[in-house]
Amino acid sequence: MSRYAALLLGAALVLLSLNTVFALRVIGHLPEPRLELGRVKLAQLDRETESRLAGLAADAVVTGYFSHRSRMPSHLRRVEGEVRRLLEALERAAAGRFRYQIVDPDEEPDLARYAARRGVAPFRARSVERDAYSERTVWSSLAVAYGARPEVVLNGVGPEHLPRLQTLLIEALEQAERPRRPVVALAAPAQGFALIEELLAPHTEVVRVGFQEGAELPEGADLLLWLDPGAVEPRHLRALDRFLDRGRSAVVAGSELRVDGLDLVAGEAVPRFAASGFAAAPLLHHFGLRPRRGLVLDARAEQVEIGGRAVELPFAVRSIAHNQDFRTLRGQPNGHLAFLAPTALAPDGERLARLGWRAEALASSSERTALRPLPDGPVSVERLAREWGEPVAHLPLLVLLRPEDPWRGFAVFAGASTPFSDQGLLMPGHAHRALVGVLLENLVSPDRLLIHRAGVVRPEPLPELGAPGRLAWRAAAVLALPAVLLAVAAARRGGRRQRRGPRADRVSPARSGAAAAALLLVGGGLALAAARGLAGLDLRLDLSRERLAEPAPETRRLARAATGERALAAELVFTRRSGLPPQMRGWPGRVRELLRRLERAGAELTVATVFPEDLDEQGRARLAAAGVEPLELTAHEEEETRVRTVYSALVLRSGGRTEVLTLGDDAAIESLEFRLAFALHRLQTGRRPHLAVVSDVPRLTPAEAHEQYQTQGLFAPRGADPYGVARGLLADSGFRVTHVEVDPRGTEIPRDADLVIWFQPRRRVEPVLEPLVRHLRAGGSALVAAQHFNIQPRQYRGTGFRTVYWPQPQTPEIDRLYFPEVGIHLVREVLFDELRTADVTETQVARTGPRPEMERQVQALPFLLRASAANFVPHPVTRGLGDQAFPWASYVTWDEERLERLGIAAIPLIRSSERTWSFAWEGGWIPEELLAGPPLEDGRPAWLGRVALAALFEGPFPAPSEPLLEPEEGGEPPLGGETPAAEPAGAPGRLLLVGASEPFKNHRLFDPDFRADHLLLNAVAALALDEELAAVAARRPAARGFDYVAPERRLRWRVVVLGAGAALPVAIGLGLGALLAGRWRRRPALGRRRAAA
Amino acid sequence: MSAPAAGAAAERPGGETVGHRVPGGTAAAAPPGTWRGIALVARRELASYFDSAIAYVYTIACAVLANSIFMNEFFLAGAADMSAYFDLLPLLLPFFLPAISMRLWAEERKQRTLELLLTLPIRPLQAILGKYAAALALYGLFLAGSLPIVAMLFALGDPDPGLIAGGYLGLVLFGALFLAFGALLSALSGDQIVAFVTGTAVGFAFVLTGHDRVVAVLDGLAPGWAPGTLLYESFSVMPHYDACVRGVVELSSLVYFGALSAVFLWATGFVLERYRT
Repeated sequence: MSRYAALLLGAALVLLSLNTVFALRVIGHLPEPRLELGRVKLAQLDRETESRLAGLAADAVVTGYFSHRSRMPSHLRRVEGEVRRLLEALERAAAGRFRYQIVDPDEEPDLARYAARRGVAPFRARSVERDAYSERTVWSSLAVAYGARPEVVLNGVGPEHLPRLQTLLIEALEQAERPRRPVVALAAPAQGFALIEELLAPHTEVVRVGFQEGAELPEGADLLLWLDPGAVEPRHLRALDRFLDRGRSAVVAGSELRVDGLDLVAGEAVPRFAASGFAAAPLLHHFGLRPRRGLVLDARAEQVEIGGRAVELPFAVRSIAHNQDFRTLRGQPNGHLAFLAPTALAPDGERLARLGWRAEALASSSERTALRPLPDGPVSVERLAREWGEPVAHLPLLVLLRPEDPWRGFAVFAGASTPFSDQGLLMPGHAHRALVGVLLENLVSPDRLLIHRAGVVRPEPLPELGAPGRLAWRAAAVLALPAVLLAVAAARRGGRRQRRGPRADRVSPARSGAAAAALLLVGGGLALAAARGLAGLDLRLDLSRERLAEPAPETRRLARAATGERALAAELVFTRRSGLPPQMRGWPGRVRELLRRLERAGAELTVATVFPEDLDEQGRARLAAAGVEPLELTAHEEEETRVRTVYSALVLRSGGRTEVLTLGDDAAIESLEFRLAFALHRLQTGRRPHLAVVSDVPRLTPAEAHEQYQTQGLFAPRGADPYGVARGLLADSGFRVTHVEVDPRGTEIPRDADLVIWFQPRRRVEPVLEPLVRHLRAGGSALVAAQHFNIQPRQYRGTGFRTVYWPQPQTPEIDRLYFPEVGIHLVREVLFDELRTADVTETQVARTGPRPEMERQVQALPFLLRASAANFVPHPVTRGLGDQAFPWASYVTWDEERLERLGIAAIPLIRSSERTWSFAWEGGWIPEELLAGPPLEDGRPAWLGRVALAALFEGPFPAPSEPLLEPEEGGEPPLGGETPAAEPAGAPGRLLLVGASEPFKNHRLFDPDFRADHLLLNAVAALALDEELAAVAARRPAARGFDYVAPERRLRWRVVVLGAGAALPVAIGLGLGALLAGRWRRRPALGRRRAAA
Repeated sequence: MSAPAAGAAAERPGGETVGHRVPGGTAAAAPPGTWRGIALVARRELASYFDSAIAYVYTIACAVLANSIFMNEFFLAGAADMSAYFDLLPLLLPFFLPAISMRLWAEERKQRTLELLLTLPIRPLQAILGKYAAALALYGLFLAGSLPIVAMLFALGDPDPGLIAGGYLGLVLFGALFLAFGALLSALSGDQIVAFVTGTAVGFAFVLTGHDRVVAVLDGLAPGWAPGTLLYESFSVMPHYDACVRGVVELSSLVYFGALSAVFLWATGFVLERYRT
């Protein structure tokens, strides 16, 4: 083909393509250009819709509020078009009874105000701009007006709404015309739960269902109330999953313990505890929660009258209104809730994140709570109160699981059924009835009912099939077609042979194939066997920088020390492989491999394997006595949900000491070497490092409490313990963890504490600060994680729901007490960094009433700092650490001169990027221009530069110049004051100040993108253990990020990678071609030269 | 060595002789040594790739596709490591590699030049290894297309060079194995499409038997026997590849890749030998 012809052909092809694109766009505007074959139609109306439209009793007007396509993020761009197409179809079918209009409130301020008056609000959506996360505030809402009835508003219409939008709109009209009562499925024992039915009856339709006994949940049920469950079987879990997947919600309330009554023995009340039969562990595990085993005792407890006197029952926990947090829900009980012998609930952060739930503790026990083992025999109430137990604070007793997927239902778990029982509902002065009302108001609200009625688009679940059935279907699906084709081929071949006769002159390909297959089977089998056999020899080369495949030097040293009297006996207590969930099947092998390496390093080691299923009752009791408890887990295995009781532990014995490592989650396996090395360390030293953890609960500012609650006659809530997961992680890692109660008169930090961890100091901090300074002065170590602000996005009706950002002060007060004297400052400014991350946070939307509604929306603004590993200073704290998210962090500065005078060395450990700026907030919202970039000085951006987000201070800490606490009569004299000379200089202490507490909260600690648990473990190990052991804690593969990269540079790199990736082969090919051509050209000449010679 | 290339080489006067009969001639040159023979075949095969559009289209398309997928999330994830690339390729290579290997022998058979090739004074093993080396070189060229990513990582951050080296070694071994069984399937099938489809299917079998979900489901079919785990530990390419990506090169992995590749090449030789006889 000539060049001219090729050019013409190319031009014709381009024109044809353009024509096609144009034609497609034109066709897209035609009324019915598509055929929708699925059961769910986007724009094609079904008969039911048409008949309902035909029967509309009044005019229906739908107003769509959509931002212009160009302002929408990519995933929302096609929404308006699809909605318009549907509305057009509805309008055509309704014969004048249905109209619609689509407006863009961004175009006209009046429109935005009009929308705001109707409760229509824009929302923030995440977008990607120039290879970085960004957010856009856009409109994508529908308001349905039907005659004189109140408008129904569907906010945040996205692509996920489209498949059900037709039904949603029709159901919205139906709901407006004929509101239906929600249906509650009540699954509860026949006795003791009659009043709840009466309480629900006026508002709902109650259906008693024998769910426990195996009955199916009614199809039309909107809410399941499962009270005092018994044994939990896979079918219950499957049914619950399906129920929640369909958008319905469930409340499960029950305790593993039961109090059968109180006996009066020698004038003392003796409770009769018994197992209730409720297997909480598998149920809670299925949803990412864990039961806290033991008896919960609380200083705030219910009272009963026995023998004419009031007796306080510490196991009848009273959760007062202050210990409840219903902020994310509409309404609150606003009174006491009682939980009799509850099973405390603990969030399993890692599993929750994996399952897509977010746990919110609605009610918890008080600050003065304890957990103790269930007494073996009769124990009086007085003795329980006297002996108390392990101090724990704010144990969650009522937990809401909020799904990441808004189409899924909510799950609420209560640690006891008391609030729903007849006994509880009759308790005077309690808010149990109000609690039921609040749950109804939120879980079967009109908008939830609309979702229920419209239905959630999910594939139909499969019917229950046995293993043979599944195998048969699998075989049919995979093998049917190949079998048919093979049969056809064989038949055709047979026929051909018959017609032509065998061909002796040619080797049959089939015969060749068969011979090759036989060769392959033998040769391949030998190769695979050789590879498998060599795997046991452990011959390997570790190319990684940290040599993670080999034990650390400290681990080897500890192994070498395990000889003679300290010889090590290891017992692997694992359920047999076939009984373990799939993800755990490789764990025994990994433990064995590590033990083998220890042996190779010099440990005298005997390894035994125990299969608990082979043991009798006594054997299992012996395991329990040694601290090896079974784990109750649920697992999805091959289309089935199974409940398994498994053992997964390693028992180490040496020198008469025993350590038990329970390996129950991925985190345990991830840090297996550290946990093992730390256990060896404990076996050899006989000492378990002690951590004292102080934390406060999140609470509102006085202004918020007054404005939003107290003026309405409501109790202002405080959050539950937000650092429980962090404490659990440290305890699981092998530390002794003590929760320290904050006592306003003076907090007692255990004198033997190796490390004090203080999560988010909050006003008033002196009672903790004083003993902390004492601890530092005594040469102790401390980790303080504090930030000044918690930035809340808010949308107010009066401002057209424009998003504003309010820094909620956290009042850590360490910016004004003691630390400034030393020269350490946690700067009270809002910090911004171009190097940022994105997150989904609660946005307060003030639609009606004083209490705002909470909506989860995207944030991607520069106060969500991303601390890049490229900006970490090499140190045991930052070793093996990937990037960290520091939302709303504060930064740390210090006075070098003053610190030097005091002999304190400062090391910045985690730093921001260079592109930071800050805002000295005094009140009000953050100015919008500061969200876009730094303020300008002389026309240039005033960058703050690189600042420290975490710093380590080592040296002798001085006494405060003024006493932090008032002296108490007969108590210890306060530290500091008029006689500083009298105070000894103090031993060198270590303080790690982290300018963010948010990463350590329950819902963020195990964020898969930013593992704050790694930072916490590193920091604690570095401060509480010796350097070598701390280095073992930090051994993990970590993806380290890079510093801020400007958008232009990002674009350049993209071009380089794609361009050079394509150009390189071309260049090499051309080079090779030239080389070969050159050689060929040279060779004839060579030949000629030879001939001439 | 595809037919046109072989023919062209035969006609080139003074070209590097492979000892074949010159048309009309009677004398035959001495057969080349083993390595020289392999090098000759490889060079001719490679030249045939670059004389046509195969090498350019293949490497550019594959490199751009793989690099684009990696770059799509790279700046959003913000991690200075190549693990995302190394995780991605096992899902792409079962498509990419049979595209090279499918023509190795199937085209010779289709063009009826295999007989010619097998009558040349080189041993089948030399022809097999030569073609295999050329295919490996082409695959290496595709891998070279990812070197700008390495450059970018070192320019922006501080990646672990050991992990990158381990990852590349894993990719080379992975490719060597897939090309070896691709060559066998090409020799067996005689049709490029069949060779491609079967190569992709077998490739995915090697990869998917290392996938957690697949292992769990297969184990669930016979819990006492645990066929999924058995396949994972004995057959799948993934545990060996993953070890390399983690920077750990185990002797068992080298034996797995090396021995299996050798077995596949040996079987290819066996098939060709049968074809010749």
